[in-house]
Amino acid sequence: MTTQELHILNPLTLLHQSSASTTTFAPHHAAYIAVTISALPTSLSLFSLVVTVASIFLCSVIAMYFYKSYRFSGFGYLLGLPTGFAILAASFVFEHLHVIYSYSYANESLENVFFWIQLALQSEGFAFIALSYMLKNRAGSINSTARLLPDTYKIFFSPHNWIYSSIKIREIIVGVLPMILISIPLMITISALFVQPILNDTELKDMSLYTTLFDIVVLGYVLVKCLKPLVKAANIKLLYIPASFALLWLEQYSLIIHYFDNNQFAFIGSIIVRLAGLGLFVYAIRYVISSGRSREMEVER
Amino acid sequence: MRQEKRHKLQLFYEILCAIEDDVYHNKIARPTHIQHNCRLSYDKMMNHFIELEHRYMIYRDNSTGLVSLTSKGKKFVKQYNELINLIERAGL
Repeated sequence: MTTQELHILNPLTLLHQSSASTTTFAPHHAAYIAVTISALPTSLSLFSLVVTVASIFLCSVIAMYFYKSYRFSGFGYLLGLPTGFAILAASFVFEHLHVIYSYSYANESLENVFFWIQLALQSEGFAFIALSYMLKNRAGSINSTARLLPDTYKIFFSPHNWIYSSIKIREIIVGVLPMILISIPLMITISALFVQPILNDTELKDMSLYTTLFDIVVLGYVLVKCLKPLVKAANIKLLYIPASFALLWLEQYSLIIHYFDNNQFAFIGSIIVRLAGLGLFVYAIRYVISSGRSREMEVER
Repeated sequence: MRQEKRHKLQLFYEILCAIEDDVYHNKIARPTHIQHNCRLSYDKMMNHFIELEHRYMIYRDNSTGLVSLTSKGKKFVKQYNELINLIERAGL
């Protein structure tokens, strides 16, 4: 096995001078190379740790504020957002563990397991965020759903209605859609285990492509849903949160570029864009809260 | 027209806002005004008053029946406003 095969999943290898130079060695030097790169360079370890801690901190802040909003407002659909960001924070822990273990030749299987968990959690997190936006319009229409029930009953028990009730069937599909959205990331990741129970690098890399594509679609949906009502308000300062979703979308896009041409700048870019997106989100939250306070102070004066 | 079921904290917010509003306009907050503003039955409103009083969000004068907001109640209204504003800004 060559070094490139050893570290096919870890682009951080390319960033380190000594590791980068070893990749030019012939395959028969693999044992020697494995020994030389078995220890994770301190600078990379530190970089990964800083990025992980920052990402987890930012995700936790976002999750905390939206959980508070859910508790205050009582709208159940809001719970998707804090849950999504909490899962996303957990995925960053596994990302860090994956980086740490990618330098250990002895624990290759652990490295793959961590990468698998990270992919599954990341997509699941984005799916939960999208769920909030998907269910937002349905929360207010409790009465209309209540009216829908007898009609749904008719669909199942009257064969005549099956033919003429395309609208009702559409409503059923729309009703099932959130469940599908949540189960897709799990289905993709678990199906990889069914194909081959012991995960290999190539298979994981393919899986990462599928999950990244899913993330792109989901984040695109969130972006559009988030942007629509705010554009109507025509206030540029309202667009911080959609902009942060756009940055998270860009992170996934950079990862796709990295998948196809193994470009280390795309990978570094994805990390920077992710931190910028999460940072902007937290800034937007702080801005909303502080602007509310300053408005109140003006009223008091 | 049937009104949508309100969450408990939303009801608290509406009651506290009604008290604040009444105090701002009339200098005092009367339970009947608050009942009218919040569209609640008298019994339900009194139950909410008891709970709000237990949480130190309102103060009730037992002799006159007048109600006023405590600093904790004002803080609750402020926090509620901030978080609802956040939900709106997130396009939710």
